[in-house]
Amino acid sequence: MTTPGDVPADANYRGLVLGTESEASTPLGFSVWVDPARFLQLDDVVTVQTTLPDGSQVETSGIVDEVRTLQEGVTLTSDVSLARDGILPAQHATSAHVSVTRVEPEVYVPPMPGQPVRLAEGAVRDRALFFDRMVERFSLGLARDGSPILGNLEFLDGSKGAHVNISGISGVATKTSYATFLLYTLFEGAALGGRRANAKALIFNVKGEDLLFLDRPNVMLNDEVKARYASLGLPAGPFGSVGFFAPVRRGDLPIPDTGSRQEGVTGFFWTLREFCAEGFLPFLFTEADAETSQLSNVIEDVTARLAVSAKSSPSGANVWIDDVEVETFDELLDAIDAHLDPDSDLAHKWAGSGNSAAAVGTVRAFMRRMRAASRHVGTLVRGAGAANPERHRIAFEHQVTVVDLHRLHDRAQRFVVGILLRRVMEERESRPGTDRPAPFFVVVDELNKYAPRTGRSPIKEALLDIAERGRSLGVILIGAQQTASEVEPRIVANAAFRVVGRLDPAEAQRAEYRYLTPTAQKRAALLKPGSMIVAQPEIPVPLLLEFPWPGWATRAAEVAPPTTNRDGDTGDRQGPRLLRRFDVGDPED
Amino acid sequence: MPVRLLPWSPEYGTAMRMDTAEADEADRGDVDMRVERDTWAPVTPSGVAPLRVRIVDGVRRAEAHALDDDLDGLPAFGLFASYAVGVVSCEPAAARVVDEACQVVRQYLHTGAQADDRVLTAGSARLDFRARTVPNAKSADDLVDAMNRAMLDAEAHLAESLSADESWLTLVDGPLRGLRQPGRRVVGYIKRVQEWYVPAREAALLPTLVPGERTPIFSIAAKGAGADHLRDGRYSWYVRIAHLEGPVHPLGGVLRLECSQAVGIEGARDLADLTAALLPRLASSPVRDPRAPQNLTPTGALEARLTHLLGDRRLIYRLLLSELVRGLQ
Repeated sequence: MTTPGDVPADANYRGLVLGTESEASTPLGFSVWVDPARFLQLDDVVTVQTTLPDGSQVETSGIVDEVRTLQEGVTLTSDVSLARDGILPAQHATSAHVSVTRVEPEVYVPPMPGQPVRLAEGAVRDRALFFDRMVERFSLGLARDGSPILGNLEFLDGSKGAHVNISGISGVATKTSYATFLLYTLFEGAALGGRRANAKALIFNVKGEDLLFLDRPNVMLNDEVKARYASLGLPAGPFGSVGFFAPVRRGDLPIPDTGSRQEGVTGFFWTLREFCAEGFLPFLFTEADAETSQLSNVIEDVTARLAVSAKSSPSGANVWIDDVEVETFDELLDAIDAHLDPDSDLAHKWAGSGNSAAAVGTVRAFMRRMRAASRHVGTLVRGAGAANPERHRIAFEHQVTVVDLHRLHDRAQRFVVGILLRRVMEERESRPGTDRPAPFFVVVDELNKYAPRTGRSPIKEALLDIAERGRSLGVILIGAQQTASEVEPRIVANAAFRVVGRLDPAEAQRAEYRYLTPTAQKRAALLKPGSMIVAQPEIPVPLLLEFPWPGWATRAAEVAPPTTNRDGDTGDRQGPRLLRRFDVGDPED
Repeated sequence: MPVRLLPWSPEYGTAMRMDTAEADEADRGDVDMRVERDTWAPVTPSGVAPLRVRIVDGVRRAEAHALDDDLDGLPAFGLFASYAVGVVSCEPAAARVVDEACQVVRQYLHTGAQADDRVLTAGSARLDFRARTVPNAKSADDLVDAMNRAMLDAEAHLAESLSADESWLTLVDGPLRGLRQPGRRVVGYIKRVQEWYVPAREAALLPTLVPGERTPIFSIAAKGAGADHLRDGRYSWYVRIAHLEGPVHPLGGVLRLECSQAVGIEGARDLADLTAALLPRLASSPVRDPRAPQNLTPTGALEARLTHLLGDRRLIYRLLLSELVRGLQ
């Protein structure tokens, strides 16, 4: 047993285990009297040795989750003023509470009061944070002391768990930035090993244009940022392989509808045949629409009829309905309208006939919604008159596929996201099964819009499907939302990695964030852009981490000119820009 | 005069004794009321009074009384006694208990001729109750008195060594009798006024003092053989340290102070002015201390610290029990 006399004064010594009534030592948490010559701060990883009666040693390690300083010798509120005046002797005493993460070997005894507590480094820190147990690991970010914080890849790629869920206030929480950073560490780092080449990602760009320059180096990349990437074992730079897709503009020419970037962006659309044969129609209907069962009956009926028509049509982009060639989306609507109209004289009525016919009101509601959707979606579904559809189809050929939706109407966004999510799953299902498939990451922001807590919709079904079955197929959902409490609980619950950026203080108190310690809940309300709190299955406490500034451009102004410019040149402009990148209130998240 | 309360919490007794016979007494021969000035009127010190004070105090505790057989077979009383003395230093923005000057003493006092030391151990702590015969002690009360005396001696000893640094004002709890050769800036403050010294006519000034004021200095002649530095007698004065609200007797916030005549009347005047200005700042509040205002705020904190250093009373009692049981086996 170490007596106070031989407390070592090595560099990592921080204080002594406390054993007061209010701060008794327990196996899962203990307090440390902090030596006045040293200090402990939140998130420090510390360790203490306990000697059992048989002489064996137990290593108890944990993370500082609270630090408090009090004035000893004062009893009354006004005493602080007496102490300040030099009349009442009072001394400062600082104690830090440690949440235990690891007890090795697993003998759950409290650390003995009086034992020296040290800052954990190297192998001890790895043990404290379970990094030693991770066979395959990837970088989640950096601790505030600059050392890497690792995640267990087996809980991300589907081997033991899958999916990431990120919560945080828009603009400040940098949710998309962190999701992109995670992809970068996986695609540009060594974690995935042999599967790296075949690993892919699909990202939807829903706000601004910040994902449209993933393949361009950031002009503000300076040596400090490079050093941070280097400490994670990563190069600092843009993504190596990115394909960009944007919806085509209105009009005959298939020009991508983007803002500042045109070159390298493929305009995408689908053919009428695909629309009918693959059953895209339900994706035109938002959650509220599909709720009445009458309406969903009609949707199902029409979808089935369209699929039959497509099957019997001659090859090409167009479809034939009752031997009439349909060449545009509007013509398709007219054809559907004709087959649903109870007063029409067509022989085949799609909405039933006689007693089983759908009510006139339901049919009208269906058509009203169809026409409303067509205003926004019509341009994305084209007939044979348009350009070669093969060259305007979204292909997952690059490692990262960015689909730009930010100029699309909300309805059209749902349409595109729904179709693509379903396609990702279908493609994976059709592949021969492998033991550990190369992961396919799907990044979806605004989960509260696509998979709200209540109600049903085709897109929510698709997301739930990924959340529940994606793990075995290697489809990994990186979902994000402002408030996890508004998202389908099964989607959040299936995520092995849970991340929060800055949270609204009231939101942080909700049950969805129980995995955060009370201190972490409070801190989530204070997080600065670029800082996240990450919870993962093996580590019993959530860890606060930072991630480096993007090495890729996040707006046109950040794109480094293609000519190699001198280092000094870029250095001058870095400071203010870097700050602006994560400016509070900047809606680029 | 209507009934007025005296300030202290009753279990601590009263802050003063009032001997009516003495109060009626005419001018005492050993007291000179005109040693500082001819008029007996309140003195309000002017000028700044820098806060640079050290206050010496002590606490004691009887851990257990005992009865033992002495060598001659007669019963002998014993007392397991603990006491601690220490010093608190007050400077602007830096009051502190001077831990390195605090000392804790354990003794086994007894009335017999010979007794064993008793050492209690708990973990790495070691409580050494050194046996000490108290000459002429007959009863348990005599042993308690001996403990008090030992503590006061230790206080005096500490105060004496501290007073060598005359950049500090050293305040001693009680009269200065126990000190042998103190420095020149030592003042004894008498929390519990036993003897008023001033004749009734002059004593009428005391209730009218306001905080920050003092009486003129008066001298008290030495009587009999005392400490060397008090050969010429003492200077003394009264200060009011607090104005107490409510139906509290006006003498309740008045304190007597004394210093050696060896410091000279000018030296005494400096000390008197300093204490008149400083002590009202150090006076304690009734919400903090049952002996407010006389038990000064830093003193109260020092006593709390020293009591803490004495250790947990119940734990020591239990250790003592198990030690004695071991002796019986």
